[in-house]
Amino acid sequence: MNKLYPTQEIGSLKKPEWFLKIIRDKRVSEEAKKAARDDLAYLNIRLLEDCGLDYVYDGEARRSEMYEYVVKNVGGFKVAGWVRSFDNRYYRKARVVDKVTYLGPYHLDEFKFVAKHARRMVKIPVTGPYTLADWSYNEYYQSKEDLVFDLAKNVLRPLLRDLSSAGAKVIQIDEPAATTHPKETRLFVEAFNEAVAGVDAKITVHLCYSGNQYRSLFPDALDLKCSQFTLEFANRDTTRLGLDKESRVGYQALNLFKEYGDKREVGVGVVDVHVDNIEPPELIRDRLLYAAKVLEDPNRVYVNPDCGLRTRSRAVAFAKLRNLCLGSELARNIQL
Amino acid sequence: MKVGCYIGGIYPRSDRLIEATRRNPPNLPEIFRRDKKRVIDLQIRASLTYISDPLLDWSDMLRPYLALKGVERGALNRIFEQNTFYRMPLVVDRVEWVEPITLKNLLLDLLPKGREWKVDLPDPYTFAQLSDNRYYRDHMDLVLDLAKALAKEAETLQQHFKLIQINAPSICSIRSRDELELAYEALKTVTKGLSAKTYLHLYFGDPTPILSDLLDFPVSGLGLDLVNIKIPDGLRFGKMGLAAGCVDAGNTKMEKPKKVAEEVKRVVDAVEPSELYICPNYDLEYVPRAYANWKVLRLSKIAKLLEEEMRG
Repeated sequence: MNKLYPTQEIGSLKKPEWFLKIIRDKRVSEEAKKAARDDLAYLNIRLLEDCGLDYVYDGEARRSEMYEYVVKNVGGFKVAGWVRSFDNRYYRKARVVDKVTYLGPYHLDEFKFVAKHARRMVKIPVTGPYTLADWSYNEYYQSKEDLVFDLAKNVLRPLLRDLSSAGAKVIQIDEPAATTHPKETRLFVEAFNEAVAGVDAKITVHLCYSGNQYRSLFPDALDLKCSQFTLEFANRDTTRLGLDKESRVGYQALNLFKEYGDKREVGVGVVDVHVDNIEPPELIRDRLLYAAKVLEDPNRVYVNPDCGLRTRSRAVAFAKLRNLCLGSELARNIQL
Repeated sequence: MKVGCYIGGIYPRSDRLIEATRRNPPNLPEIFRRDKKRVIDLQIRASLTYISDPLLDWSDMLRPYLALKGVERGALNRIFEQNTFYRMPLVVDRVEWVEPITLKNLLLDLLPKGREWKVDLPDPYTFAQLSDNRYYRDHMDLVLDLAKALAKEAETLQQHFKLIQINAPSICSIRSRDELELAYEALKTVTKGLSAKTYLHLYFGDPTPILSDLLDFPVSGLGLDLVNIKIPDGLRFGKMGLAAGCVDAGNTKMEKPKKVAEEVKRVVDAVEPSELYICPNYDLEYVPRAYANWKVLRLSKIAKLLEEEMRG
């Protein structure tokens, strides 16, 4: 993109109460539910564009959740029940009870809808093979490796190819589990590369909440076939303004890219998705300028929230995204 | 040898409780209480040796201890190998103990009279490793101050509990002599003079390279994740007890008690611990409630089978 600090969202937005009431109501027809999903997707696209984002999607309006939606649409999984994510937040985990099978392009309809209605660039988020395997209870495969590769080659690869054939130009593979088991980084990388093999699109990878500040990714991640790392940082940072190391303590992992000579783009998380406090544009500006300084090239810096904003109210989420865009504009006007 | 069994850490909430936490009704504390009671009753029904508060109202194993002086709520971070997160304790000043924390966060009146009780406590080294330290120049000073604070906690707990499970996942990855000595010193501070049994639970990592050193640690026994590690040949536990983490809290697959009992028997024959407990390899909160319940019921079956086999 011919613009410094292009802005993007990561994926999910909170679903409004009116929508959930319709979706959960057994008396409502499937046709009316589909109409509600279309309405919410359309609304999210417009709102994200109104915030000023350069890359948009539909806030994952049709997905119950980034993991559950997928396992319900891929053969071989059986939902087991709720497991805590944090505090009072839960997600449904599934058991792998049979060979995993591709039952069809589970994100294709939503992608076509977004592509039809979006005025900005479209970036579709897709949950990656390693994360799907890591978050599931494997009761079928001899090893985790077998499960991960089967998902990569026989589920993700056909899905990504179908999306690319339908016109997807930018695909974000979500792999939040990638840094969970440092010894399995190679497995994550190889499975990722199998999944994207032959896919004609710009591939980015989203990772977040690494217990080891992304250190375990390197050097294996140098082989990852993607052109952008989209990462969470703001969660660990101070809220002080400034371009000094102490104020920007949350962004020290950017040094890894310098250390390993990785010159790819980095989508820098500049707003914390787990607090309601709205980061002022000046703080976002400083986080971006600091990232550009460490990466030694502002052209490599993309701007995004740490993660999906589904845990925040919609008002808070949009206020954060608006400031994210304003802060990026401030950064564009400053020559490093 | 008598074989005991227990569970530790945070237990999964029931679907009913999860739903209630989303609605946040005025009687939420009562719903928590009822759900805790159900888990305690299950432990009694499953004939566990020690009964514990299932900590359903704890957001994570360190959250209550953010009440320590000098500690604040920090960033959200992943708990080791799980897709579950905790708030990093943000250390902004010298850590000091002010008043009992653990006791304040338990429902002692629900625990059954006439049975022995157990409780969880974080290991100071692990606490420090999982914290975001923005005050201490030397990591060692943080560990030792945390040890003093947690020692005060242990002191308040021992009058109620016969067994204190000290959760120490970070010790698993220690590979340097200095760090091992630091973890040892910290633990010595916590366990000094305690009448309660203390079991150091090691999971989310491989402690086998330092296991021979851990056998000299100042605790009554070691809790090991036997699902994921293999104890090296030639080690003898001697005076140290073993809490055999042989039920997998990371998978819904149900263990076959006979098979597990045989595997544990082989371990026990090899390492000859002074006493033996059967338990999950870590907190059962990583599987949904129904699976956790089934796994709890398997613990005493495994323990009984082992006892029979040992009798011979």
